[in-house]
Amino acid sequence: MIEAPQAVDEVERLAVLASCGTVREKVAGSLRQLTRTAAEICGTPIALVSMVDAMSQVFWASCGLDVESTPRAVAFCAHAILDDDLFEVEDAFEDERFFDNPLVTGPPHVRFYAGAPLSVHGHNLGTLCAIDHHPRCLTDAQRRHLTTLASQVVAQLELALTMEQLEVIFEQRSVELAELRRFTYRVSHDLKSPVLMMRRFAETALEDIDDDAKEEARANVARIIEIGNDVSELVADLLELTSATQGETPEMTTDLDDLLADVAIAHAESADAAGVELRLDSCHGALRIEQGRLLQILSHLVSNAVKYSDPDRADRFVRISLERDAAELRISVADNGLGIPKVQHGRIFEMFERLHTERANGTGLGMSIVGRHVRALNGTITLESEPGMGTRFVVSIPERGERT
Amino acid sequence: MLIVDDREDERYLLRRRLRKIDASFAITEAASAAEAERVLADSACRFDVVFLDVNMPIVSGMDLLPRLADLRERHAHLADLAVLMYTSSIAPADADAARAHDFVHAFLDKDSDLESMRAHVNAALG
Repeated sequence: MIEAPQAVDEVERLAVLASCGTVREKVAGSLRQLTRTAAEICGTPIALVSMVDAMSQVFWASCGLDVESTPRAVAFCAHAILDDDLFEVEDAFEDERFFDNPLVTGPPHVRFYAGAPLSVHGHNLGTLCAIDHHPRCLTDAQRRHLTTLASQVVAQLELALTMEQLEVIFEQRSVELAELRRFTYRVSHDLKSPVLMMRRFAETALEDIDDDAKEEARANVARIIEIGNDVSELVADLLELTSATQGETPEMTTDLDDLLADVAIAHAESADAAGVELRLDSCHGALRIEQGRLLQILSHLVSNAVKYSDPDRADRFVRISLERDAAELRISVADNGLGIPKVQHGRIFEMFERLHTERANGTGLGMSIVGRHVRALNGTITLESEPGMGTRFVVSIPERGERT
Repeated sequence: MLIVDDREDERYLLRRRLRKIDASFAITEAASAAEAERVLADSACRFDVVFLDVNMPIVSGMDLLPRLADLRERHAHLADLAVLMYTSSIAPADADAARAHDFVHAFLDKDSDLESMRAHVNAALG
């Protein structure tokens, strides 16, 4: 007996076979029918769909044989998958590879074997084979039909695999669509109500002007400006949320000290107003990165940390630290602010979540923008927070470019 | 008149409009459903019309309606109270639930014009 060598594409072949394993149940019925047809066409008592895995051949469908699998070492199919053509052994007794094979000398007493390789995504996973207890050969028509049936087995498998992929995509798209619907609803509401509010304040201010109530008119116009600022903040965040999900932004060499200084300058005024000290902790150096995203991540995290500082605490601070090693850049934004209860941690990155509605207003989009930028940079973000203990966000971004 | 709305802006704008409809209206404000309940239970204050915001945190305008029904049964001075639901948007199910209470007279859009508001207020005043 001569054992079949491993296929040259063994690793990839086994990977494709493993992926087919998930659709085995789905194709079982049609494979059984095709196998039965193969036996009838070839006029053999046995026909099988036999898949060759690492250690054995497994019968995914069988006709005339009540065995689940046999060791790969003795498998005829292990030979058949080495070539793309029909593999035929007219008489196993006369073949040096098989004459003393236990499947030949014992049950199921294979004398004749014809196996058409099943090539799924370019790799022969197994065969559709016909087996007889007597030596014989197939007619040209039988060979053609067996090959055609094998290609039908492959078609069933590939179809089931495609279906499975589509189901996954469908599921993802359904989730995205539902999110988009919620988003659109909220956007239209969140844009409409302040605009209507501005109009009503404007009407009221006009009445004040007619009544010569100058102070009241001034207060109402001031309110219109405030609401206008909120609306433009919302529009800016919406635009950013959209662009955060889209393609790449330019990558540029970024000096980390400069980056931190820029963030500190941008938030100096609001931090001052809230009595919050900004503490910077740079690791120096520079790297090539989509700088726009990095800035936005930092900006939203710092702005939140300032916004949700704890007014009852005297030493309010926000610490921005950068650390990096060979693999990644770690950005940490920590504060001793109000903190976030554990139950709300999961909702942080959802759109329009404002956790401290009584304390601060905002668009409710900041953290989902951060989430999207982090995802676009293939990074991760984690959160440690406890009410009264402050909050710490850590963003880890893998470094791919060369270090500069 | 009692204005129940958690947003100061809304209370201010409604107060201004009511004054424009009739400068002699006595107007009280409540920033939450709980505050509204307290004020209404006090028989020293008499209200003809309550403007009730639908969307409020903690106890919404919708949640307040059954409590109001209960209050009316226990307090004779609330027998003629009329409620106007004051909102920028309402779910159809909420609208139906609100209409089930006979003291809910109408739904008023926060953005409706002065004339339609005048008509609703006058109707509610009977």
